[in-house]
Amino acid sequence: MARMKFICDAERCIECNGCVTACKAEHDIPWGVNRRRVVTLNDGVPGERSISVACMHCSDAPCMAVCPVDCFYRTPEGVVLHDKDICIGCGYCSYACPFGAPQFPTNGTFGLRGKMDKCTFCAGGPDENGSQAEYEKYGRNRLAEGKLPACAEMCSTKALLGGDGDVVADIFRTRVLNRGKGSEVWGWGTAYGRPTQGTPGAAPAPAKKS
Amino acid sequence: MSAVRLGLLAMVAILLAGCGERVQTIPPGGERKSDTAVWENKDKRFLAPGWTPGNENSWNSHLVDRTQGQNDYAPRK
Repeated sequence: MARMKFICDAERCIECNGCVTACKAEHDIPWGVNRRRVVTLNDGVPGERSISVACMHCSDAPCMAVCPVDCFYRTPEGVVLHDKDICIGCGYCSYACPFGAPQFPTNGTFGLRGKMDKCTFCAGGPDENGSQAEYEKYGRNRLAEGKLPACAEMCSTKALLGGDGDVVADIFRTRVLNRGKGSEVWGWGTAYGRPTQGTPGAAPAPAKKS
Repeated sequence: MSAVRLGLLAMVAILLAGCGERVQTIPPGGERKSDTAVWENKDKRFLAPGWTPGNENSWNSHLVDRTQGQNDYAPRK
C-alpha cells in the first residue's frame, strides 16, 4: 500500500511559485487561501533557499489530535483529509499545525471565517469521488483519476516530489548521490543523521563520570 | 433621497444578502461519511490511461510508475 508524501528539494526550488499556481487553478481556490506556498529563507542573501510548503500529511497529525469535532481522517494511502460538513472552523488545527497548512477562507456573504481548507494531496474529501459536491468543497480528486498532485506534476525543476513515500525518497536519495551533496539539505540530517551527531548507528560515547 | 432612506436601503440589502448564505448544519443521519476507496471512481471523463478503475493493484502500480516520471535519473524506457 502506497503512503503518500511530499518532498521538496531545496537545491532545485527556484521560487517560481508554479506549484502554488497549479494548486490554485486545479482546485479553484478562492482569493486569500493558499493551500501551498513557497517559503524562502535568507531571501536576497547568497545561498538563499526556497522550499514549497503545504500540508505534509503527517503520520501522527497534530491537527487530527486537537480537532474538537474530530472531523479529520486518514485514508489508507496516508493522506490526511477532513470533512467540511463536520468542521466548525474554530481554527484549533491552525495553531497545532507546524507548517501553517490550515487555511480559513473568508467566503460567505459577510466574509466570516469559513470551514477550514487545506491541501488534500489532490485526493478530494469524503464525498463521492469525482462528484460536483466533492469538487466544490475540496477541489479536484486527481488521485482517483490515477494522477499525482498537480503541484508536484507541474514543478518545472522537479524540486517538489509527490507520491508514494518510498518511491519519492528513493528518487531524492539517487539525486543527492548523483550530485555529490545534499547532507546540508533540510530534513536530510533528521532522516539520515548529521556529521555533528556522529555516524548513524554508531554506539553512543560513554558518559563521563563526575 | 435622505440619508435615513439610504441607510434603510443599505440595511435591507445587507439583510437580504444573508439569504445567500449556504446552510452549514450537518444533515440528519449524515454525521459521519466514509470516504470511498481512491481507486473507485465512477467518473471516467478525466481518468489517466494505464490502469483499471476499481482495481487496487492496478491503481497502486500505475501510481508508482507515474511517480517515477519525476525521476530524471530513471533509466529511459
